[in-house]
Amino acid sequence: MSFFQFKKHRRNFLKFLGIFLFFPSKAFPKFNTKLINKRIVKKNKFTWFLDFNDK
Amino acid sequence: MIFNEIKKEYLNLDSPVLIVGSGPAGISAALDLEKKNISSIIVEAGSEFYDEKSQSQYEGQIIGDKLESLSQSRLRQLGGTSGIWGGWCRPFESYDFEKWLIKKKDIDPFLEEACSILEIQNNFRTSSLSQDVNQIEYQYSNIQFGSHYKEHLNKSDKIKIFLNSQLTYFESVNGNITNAVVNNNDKSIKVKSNHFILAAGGIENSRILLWSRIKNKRLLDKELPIGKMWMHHPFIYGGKGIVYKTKLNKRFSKKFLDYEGPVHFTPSENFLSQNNLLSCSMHIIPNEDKKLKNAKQIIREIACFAPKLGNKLRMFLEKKQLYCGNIKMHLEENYESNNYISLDIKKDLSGVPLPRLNYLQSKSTIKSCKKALMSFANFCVEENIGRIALSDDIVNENKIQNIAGGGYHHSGGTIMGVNKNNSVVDRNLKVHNTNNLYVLGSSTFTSIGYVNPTLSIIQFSLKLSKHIKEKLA
Repeated sequence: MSFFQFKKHRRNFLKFLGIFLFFPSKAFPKFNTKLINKRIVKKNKFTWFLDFNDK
Repeated sequence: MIFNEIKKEYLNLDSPVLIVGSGPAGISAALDLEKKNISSIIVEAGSEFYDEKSQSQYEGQIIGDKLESLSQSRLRQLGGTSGIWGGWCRPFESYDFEKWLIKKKDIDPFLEEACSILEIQNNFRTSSLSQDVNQIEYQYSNIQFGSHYKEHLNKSDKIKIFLNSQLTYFESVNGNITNAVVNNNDKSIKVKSNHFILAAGGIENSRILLWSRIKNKRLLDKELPIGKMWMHHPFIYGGKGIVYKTKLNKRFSKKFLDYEGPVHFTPSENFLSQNNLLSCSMHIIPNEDKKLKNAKQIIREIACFAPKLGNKLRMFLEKKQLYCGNIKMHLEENYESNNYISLDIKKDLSGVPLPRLNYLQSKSTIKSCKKALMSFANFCVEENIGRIALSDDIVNENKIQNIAGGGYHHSGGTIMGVNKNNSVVDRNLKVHNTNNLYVLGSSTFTSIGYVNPTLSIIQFSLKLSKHIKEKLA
């Protein structure tokens, strides 16, 4: 591997790591919608199914 | 012609068909026989209008889980329970016929005619929104059979209706029904005919056959499971929520069925079979209360834990771009050995024992309801088309206490099947081992599915009238 190739791979890896750490939903978009974005709220004898971004 | 009592002079005329009950099943059969130039007599236990004394004859005992009172969940008058029905119509799905002796294609030819009797369009679209969720379309009928068809029935030469005439039991010779014994103004009158159609309702059909078997031991086999395999069709509040109309439109464009009125969803056939579930339907009625008190309350509640979303929803509600309200559900029930109709010691004024209904809610129904509603709630979040809440009773799989008003669909008790060990009627609705006794109505249903049954009941009435015409030819 040449020096330039190594630099390119390192850049891509760091880019992915940054996205994964700060925006996990964007790193694994398909995985995310099913598992990360759910928020369950219990109130007045009802269980609400909400999105994680419902603020 | 409609009479308030039995006119003996008309009994001697040739009417080859006697129909018991003037509800949607009985009147539809009579109207179709009239078209085929066949005369019929209808005996109706109630009078033309609601009468408290007559209605009280519909009392009965319920043993087990909570259920609507038997005198309040049906109507004893001309037109039967159609006098108080909601009018929701949709035919059975093909997968509802899995346990049946017949298939959907056997009653499909009668759908167009059944729709014209109910004065609705034959348009029942299904749209697949995802692998698991379908949107479905209902038609809503305003027809109350008593008032709507009264004028026609009064002028008809082929149909004679005797009101205040309660069938008590049948008499027979060698499996051939010869007479229906009818109580009219405290007099017992024998009415002769060639073919007898019992269309008295989901409880009465079983009650009359059980009493006929006691009065005449040779008429009906001991083995016939009369009153057994009874099913309820719970209509419940499963939860509440909001669905964005505009987002549904945007996300699914042509797939979304956009029309005025309630929005209906159901789990797909694929989802039901993969998870081995019973079917159900989910309904959100947007303008259930005109001041939108309930909708506002729901949005206020959301605003407590998601204020920004709450504000956004308020704007959507003002622009009428939101389906918001309680989620009402129709649930399919399997027949279980605990659920059956028997006769009580108490008798009504005609001397017929009152019904005793043994009923326990099925656990598989509640489990299916929970899974379907959770899948719908997840679907709404994933596609960002709404937010749904499940009631704690459903989440915890408790017995359902929160019953929505209406939707009293009694079925089973005289179900259709191959032989007398597992059913009461055959594929032509004829009682096993009799030659001329038929049963009409939801009591013959082998499964109830999620749909309201009246449209299908009428399809079966038309099928039976065709069969009788062929027999008489």
